[in-house]
Amino acid sequence: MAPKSNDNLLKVENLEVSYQKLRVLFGVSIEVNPGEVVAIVGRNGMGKTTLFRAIGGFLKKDRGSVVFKGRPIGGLRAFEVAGLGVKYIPQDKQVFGDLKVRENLELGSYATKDYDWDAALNYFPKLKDLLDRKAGHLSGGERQMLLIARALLGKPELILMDEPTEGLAPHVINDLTHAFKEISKKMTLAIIEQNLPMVGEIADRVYCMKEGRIIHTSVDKQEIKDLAFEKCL
Amino acid sequence: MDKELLLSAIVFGFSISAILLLVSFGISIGFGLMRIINMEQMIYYTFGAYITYTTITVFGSFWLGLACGVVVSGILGFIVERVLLKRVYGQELMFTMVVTFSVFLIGIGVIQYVWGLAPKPVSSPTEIMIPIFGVSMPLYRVLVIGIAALVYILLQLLLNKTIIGKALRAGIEDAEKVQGLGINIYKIITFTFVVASGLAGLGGALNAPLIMIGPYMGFDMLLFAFVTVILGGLGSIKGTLVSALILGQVISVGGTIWSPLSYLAPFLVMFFVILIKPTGLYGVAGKAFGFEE
Amino acid sequence: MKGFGGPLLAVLILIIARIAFPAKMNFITEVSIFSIYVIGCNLLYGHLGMVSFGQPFYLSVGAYSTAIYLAYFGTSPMMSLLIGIGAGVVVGLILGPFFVRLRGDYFALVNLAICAIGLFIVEKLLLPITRGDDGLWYRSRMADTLFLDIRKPDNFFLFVMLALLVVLILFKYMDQSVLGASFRAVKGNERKMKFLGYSTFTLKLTGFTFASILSSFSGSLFAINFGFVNPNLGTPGRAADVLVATLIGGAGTVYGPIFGSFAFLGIRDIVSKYILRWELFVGILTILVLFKFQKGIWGNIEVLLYEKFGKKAKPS
Repeated sequence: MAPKSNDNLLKVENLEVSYQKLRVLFGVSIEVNPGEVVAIVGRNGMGKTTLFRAIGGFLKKDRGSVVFKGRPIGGLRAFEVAGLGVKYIPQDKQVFGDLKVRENLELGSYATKDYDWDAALNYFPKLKDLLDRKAGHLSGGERQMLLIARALLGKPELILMDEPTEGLAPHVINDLTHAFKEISKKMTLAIIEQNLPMVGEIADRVYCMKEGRIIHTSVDKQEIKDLAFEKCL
Repeated sequence: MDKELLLSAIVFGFSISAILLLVSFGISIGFGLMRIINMEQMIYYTFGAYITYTTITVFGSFWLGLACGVVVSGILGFIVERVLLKRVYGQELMFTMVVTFSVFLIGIGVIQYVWGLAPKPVSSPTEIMIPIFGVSMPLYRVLVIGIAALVYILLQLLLNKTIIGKALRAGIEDAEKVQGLGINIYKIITFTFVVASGLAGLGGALNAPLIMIGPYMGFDMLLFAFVTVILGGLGSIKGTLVSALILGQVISVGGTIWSPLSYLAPFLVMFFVILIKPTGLYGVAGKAFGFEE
Repeated sequence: MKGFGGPLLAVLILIIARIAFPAKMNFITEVSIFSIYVIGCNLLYGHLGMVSFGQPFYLSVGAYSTAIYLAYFGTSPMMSLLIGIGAGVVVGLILGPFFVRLRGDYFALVNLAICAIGLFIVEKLLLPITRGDDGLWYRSRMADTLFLDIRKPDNFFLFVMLALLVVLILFKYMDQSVLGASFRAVKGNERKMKFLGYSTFTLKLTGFTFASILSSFSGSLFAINFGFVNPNLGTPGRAADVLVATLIGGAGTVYGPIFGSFAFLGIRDIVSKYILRWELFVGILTILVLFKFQKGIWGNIEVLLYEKFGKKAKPS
């Protein structure tokens, strides 16, 4: 885990978000410091994805503020937020199936002008052999790796990952966990996860969400390792 | 039916396919990328034809007229997209259909205002007949087929070899994820739209010598374009091609067998296919444009 | 039965208007007939959320059925109306099962297609029977009817009032019944309805057939009103008319269609004196209504009434 600093990388305050006239987030506040791994846990439907999507600019907020590196990003469109260095990786594990793996990466490079694929692919060496395969033919784990590698292009400072290990086989999850540890040495990660053991292993800070609210925060390393926050679910 | 007639009808059919492909592309892609059904696509078709007509009247050159028609259509498409369509992204499909249909009506009104109600003839740039497999065909129709084929090849190159084309294809699959990579999808949408309207304008210009142009020409073509897209499946470019090819033949050969079929047959084919596969031959599943904008 | 009040009041207002403005009787008759047509479209769009770009087809089915009967077979206007309604039922039940299965956008377009086919059939294919663009005339063949000779415009007006009253009552009844609620639920969230065990197919088919019947019925009334029919009744170009009227009046409401018809036909009458470009006008009007005026005239009135009187009027 990289050393923490005191200036927030991301600060969300009192965020209220509605989805099709239904209020989903009720005044959510979280902080992410540079170099941290922050985990958001909670059962399904508690608003975790909505939170990330709102930060990423995919949803409009009703009230509250989202500040990244001291700059408010609450009203920006999704591609602008991504351009500032905040990348959101959705949970559906869908890549651009009709395009090749190589072309998926090309799209990642297009806006960011970052063609240093090696840096991204070093976390996922397996992908190097799959460059010319049609992305739709990859397995679930491979697709998740591609999603992350693609997002890493442009060297984002903050990566928001939505349930990256969901539905994957244990050895794949191991590989991913290892990759996350490596990535977090250079970039800041915020992860939504239901895989609590993995959270315990890598997170510096854990937020529990329930029904659109943060109900518990853990910053104590031991507490996190012991999964003490589990009771809040 | 004797061989000559059949051959003639088949070539005729391909020229119809050519026009159908050009005008339907915009609707299919508009749905695939933006999840809107742009009913006003035919206004670019109509303008393409009328600008060609006016240019010929003033300058006497068909090909210059065609170029102008395409350019004007593209510009119109740009204006409509920037001013109106961006307000309807993310709305219900029905809403956008009614809005774009209204734009279509407005466009017809403008055409009537500027050019009047009477149909206008546009003369073909060449009356030469050439022999194909021993049957005499109008060169112009063959040119139309050639141009459309060229356009299709260019489109495929665009979509498969250029980064914008790939972004477009990615956008058809998942526009949100494209944004998530920092790509300004709205610029891509505008670009796509301009191409689509330009193509519709090309279709109008090319078709002008083959039919009498009138303010309502867009209406009939709208119907055929929709049959083409519905049959092929909204959102699929390949589907549009296959469907255009099929329908061109149905209209032409069918019309040779029994005249009313040239109008009715496409609808019958469409009904039949939809019964079996409600999303058409290669349809893409639709959900409204996912952006909460 | 409660709920008589509103429709009765509405019709009474129309009758008073006719008495107050005798010169406008034809206009009021036309508005009333058009209202029935709009109610059909409103049911489909406002209640079920299904847009159809082909309602003129169903109107012309009714109109031509009536016209052909009167021109070739019989002389009783009442019979011809029944035939018109019957045609609406038949068409609704034949086309319905295929059409309502389609996704919303395909449904809209397929209706546009059938409208074009219908126009073609009437204009060209059945030319010997329908006389195509020349129109089919039969006014001289219409015979007297029981109680009320509806060949006379005054009497026909009363007949239309009666028809409108019946339609409104039935519609209001449906609106407040479980069926009406089910319709609205389909519009709101079809998947959920299916999940709850409702057959959305049957519901949509029912709504579709009702709309078909209403459109045909209004077509028949138009046929008797004018004494002749021509293909213009069923052109796809007119598909927007009924949609605009629905939107102006307030989609999904009971009385919206009347307001919408009034507004639309009224504006058309006024505008056509000054502007020849009809389409331009309809297009601009629709966009304005859609963007600025989403609830429509009656829709906005309903909201006002609700705020003032609480539970009496309930916004849709």
